[in-house]
Amino acid sequence: MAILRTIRRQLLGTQGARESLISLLPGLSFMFVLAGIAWLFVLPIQDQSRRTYISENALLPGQAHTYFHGSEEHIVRAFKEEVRMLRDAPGEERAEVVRQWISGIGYKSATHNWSISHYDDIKAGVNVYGVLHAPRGDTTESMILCAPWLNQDGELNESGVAIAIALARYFARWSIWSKDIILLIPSDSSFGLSKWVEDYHYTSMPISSGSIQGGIVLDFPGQGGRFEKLEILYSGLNGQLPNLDLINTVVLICGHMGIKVIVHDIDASDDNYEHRAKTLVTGIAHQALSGMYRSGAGSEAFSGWRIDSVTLAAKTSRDGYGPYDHMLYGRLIEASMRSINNLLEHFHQSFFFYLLLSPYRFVSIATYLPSAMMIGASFTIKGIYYWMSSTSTKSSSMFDQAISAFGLFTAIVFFSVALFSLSAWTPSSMLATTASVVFTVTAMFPIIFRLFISPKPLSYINKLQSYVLVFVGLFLTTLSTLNFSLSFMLGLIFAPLAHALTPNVNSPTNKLIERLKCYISWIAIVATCPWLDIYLYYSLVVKGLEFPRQCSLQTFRNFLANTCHEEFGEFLSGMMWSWRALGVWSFVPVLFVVWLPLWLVACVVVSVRAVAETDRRTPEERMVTVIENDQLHEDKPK
Amino acid sequence: MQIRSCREIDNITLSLVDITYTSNQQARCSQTCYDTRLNYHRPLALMDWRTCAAIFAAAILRQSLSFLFPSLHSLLGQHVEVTTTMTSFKQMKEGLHLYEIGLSPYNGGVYHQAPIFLLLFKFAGKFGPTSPDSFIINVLYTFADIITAYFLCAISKSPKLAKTNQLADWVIAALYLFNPLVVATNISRSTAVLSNATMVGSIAYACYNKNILSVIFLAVASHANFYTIYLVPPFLLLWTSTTNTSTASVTKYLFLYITASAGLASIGYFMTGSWQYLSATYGSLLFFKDLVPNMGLWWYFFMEMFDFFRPLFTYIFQLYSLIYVLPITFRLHNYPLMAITCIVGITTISKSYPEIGDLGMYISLLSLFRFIFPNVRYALFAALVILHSLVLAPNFYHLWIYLGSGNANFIYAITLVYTIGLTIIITDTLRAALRIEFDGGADPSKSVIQI
Repeated sequence: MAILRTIRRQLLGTQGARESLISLLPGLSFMFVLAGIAWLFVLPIQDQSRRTYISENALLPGQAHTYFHGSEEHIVRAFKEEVRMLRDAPGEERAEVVRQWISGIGYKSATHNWSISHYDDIKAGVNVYGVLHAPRGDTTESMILCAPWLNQDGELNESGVAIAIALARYFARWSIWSKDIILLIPSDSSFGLSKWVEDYHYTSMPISSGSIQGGIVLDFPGQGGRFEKLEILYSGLNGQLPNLDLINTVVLICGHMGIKVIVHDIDASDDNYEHRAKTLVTGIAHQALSGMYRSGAGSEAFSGWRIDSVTLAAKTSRDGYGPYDHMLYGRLIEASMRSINNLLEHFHQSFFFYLLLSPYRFVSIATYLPSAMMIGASFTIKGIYYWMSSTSTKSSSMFDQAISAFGLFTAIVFFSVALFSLSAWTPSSMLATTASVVFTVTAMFPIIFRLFISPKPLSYINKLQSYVLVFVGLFLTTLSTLNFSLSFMLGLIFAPLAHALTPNVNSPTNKLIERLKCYISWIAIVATCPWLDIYLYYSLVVKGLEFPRQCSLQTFRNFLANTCHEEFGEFLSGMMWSWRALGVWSFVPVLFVVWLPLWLVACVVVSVRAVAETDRRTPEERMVTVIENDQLHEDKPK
Repeated sequence: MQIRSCREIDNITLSLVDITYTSNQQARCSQTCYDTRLNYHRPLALMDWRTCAAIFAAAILRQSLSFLFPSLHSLLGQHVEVTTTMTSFKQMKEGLHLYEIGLSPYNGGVYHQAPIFLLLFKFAGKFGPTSPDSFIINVLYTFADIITAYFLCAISKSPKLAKTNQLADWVIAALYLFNPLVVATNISRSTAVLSNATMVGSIAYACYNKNILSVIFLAVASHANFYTIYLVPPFLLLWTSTTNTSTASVTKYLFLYITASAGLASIGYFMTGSWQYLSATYGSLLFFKDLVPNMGLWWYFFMEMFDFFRPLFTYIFQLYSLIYVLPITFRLHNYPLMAITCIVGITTISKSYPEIGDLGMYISLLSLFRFIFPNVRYALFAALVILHSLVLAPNFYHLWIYLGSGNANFIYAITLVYTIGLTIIITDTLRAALRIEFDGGADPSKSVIQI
């Protein structure tokens, strides 16, 4: 300990070591944010990532010969024709016809009516599914072959459904299956599919099978039957990912068959830094926002149920031509199903936490986690800084201050949670109106705080900040283990609220810098307002509008007029539905329980007038304390 | 400047020590201390309105949680951090059912708790159904928490502590009653709530020199929760502190304790008709027969280890939890209450089936020692470590058990962090207490680093 003390003395000097330690913290915290961002861009460097490999030996991808060709093509074409004829049929009728096909090829079949409602907003449909009991199994395990009637873009999944049924017919003749095959044709790739998965596990269905080990979702719209490349969609809900072995299996089989495979719609044929970085960033965006407002690809409905699944989307070129035909796609599915069938136990060998840089390269959790963890930790450090800097002044009302600041913090959190339940109860049709009211009210909060909260001591404000920052740091570090991407993105959005805020202290010194700091604070507040950010995300990313280049009232008015009120309401209700029906807790609840309190506290910090602390003790008292301190030090028994 | 009265020095020391407290409250506190010395035989009369309000609010909180979220009981009851197989209400119900239909409750291999709980809940069953959200169970558990808080306030005002500057009663009560760990344990209906109440009760009675009652309460507490037996040595100090410590009085209380424990043990014999229950309760606790994850250090070791090593490591682990008892008792013989608190803390780390309610109890016991707070150095650091581990533990358990994407190492790593946090708290408070014993706690470096 003596050595440590010496080192401390050497580093910081004897006087005010505590203060100098504390003064290091904001810089350290800011460095952590920068380091976290920088670390993300280190990942795509060649040596930082690893080549993917098959970890589970039992999978044996591409080892079995595939026989889905020749005369099977006539069956596929025939089913395609039939599917096309059902294009405009009502759901019930379509489902009954498909059910008869499925039962005709030797499967036990059933339909599954589903509906979810929120006041008068009702979503309903009919799913069809069939089960082939495994010739070599005991109905304890199964795998899913799924082709949604409508794919994620709302197109008729014509080739996908036809190939799935033809494949199922073809599978029924084989005696090699050791897991049941569930053929599933849900009415859409999002709510219908996830409702089926939920009911399969929670309720007793007319026909059932064992625990689902893996699944493949077919997405092949269009009638041409040719495709140019295959995209693997794998992001699950709430940051869940399927086991990397499943993706590797598909990629390896594609390699054997000569199919060009891509992830996140980025053609990375030449493996360079730029492409890897692009894939990484797009992957992070997809993972963070998966299932949030638009219907998913289908595979994400299985996440959270211990079912590893991927969506194999065949991408056609614009003229409908491509080098590969639908039979090759069918053989790819056949080979993948054979691999899943080979599994001896549930997928467990490879990684569940990874970021793909290309179909062949990945970074594992140990390498990428520091990035989000550093950003999360920066909030905690800043919180510690505010706490310690506000306790260093020895005013006697510290305890009361800590309690009352905590009271304000709790009140803000409760207010946000109340707003959350309000929005959860709002009917979908009223959502747009409610949102605009809430927008306006929230925008007035800084003014309300300014007018109605009396000036507070600086240490009170610091305490409040420290509570919220520790809370956010705790949340982000925890979230990063569940949903790295969301944690990282939120960390970036929140960072200005931890670093760019200056409390509103009226001090005469250094006017210009003070004013500059004040402007920066306000810019940070406006830029991180949750409603504004959602609106901007909607207009710029979802609608693809261009932000006005010229700053004039007219351009802004045009920009606002371009986003229709009803459409925005639909977007919002889509986000509410994703939380309500799909259980995506990682956005709407997070928005209300974390983002909004943080932002409101930031509003309080910037708008409420702070009073700089003065030492209230008289000089004599202070002197006495110092002497007393020394005396006690000397009195210590040797 | 040279000439200063003692009175002045006292005041200054107080203001030095007092960082987080208003002078207003100091005055009130010293007032209550003064009252205490006058009439400490009637502690109930001393409850001020703030304490009553805290207790009332806590009762409302528990009732409304039970009313608003009826599924919370089973949700928390399934969480391994909150209840263990030694305290689970679900398993208690199983045992109670077997007992009521005339079978031995220990036959199924599910019930591992003391037979006295069967009697208690059978009695409670006379007033209504014994489901976790039923009225009578709600009342029983709320009452247990309130009585614990009341006992804590009574300890704080007892002659053993009243000489020092204590936290106000309502603060102590609120620290216990609104501690999320305690609330969660209560809502999960862990039977640890009841055994903790008896343990705190025995401390309180010992502080007021009602030694016989204290012995009986301690016997009940250690019958319900085996590890309470470690508190016997410091309790002997408490019991004999008013009389001049003689071998005779020590023997007397020891004998009394053993008789009471034997009496309680024989209740189990008469209830089930055999001594089989001993191996089902204390046996499975001591030999760690139920390998289920929890917040402790045991399960991962025993999961990984070959079977033939098990006896050896069982002895080592149990010995480890026992080994601190006597040294701490001897070292802190001037502060028996501090010794009890330390041992409670250490057992929280080293017992075989720990749960977060133990930490809640330990924190509440620590809140009685207001005078060591200024000397505690790493409070913020320890609090952050514990906070993070408590949030990450259910998260990692979820990843492992429900999503299947994590594994056992995740939650084990977090239990290690949790243990580190606990260790920091224990060593820090112990150091602070010893420092006060050494030179009254004037620590010149405390203004240098206080994380």
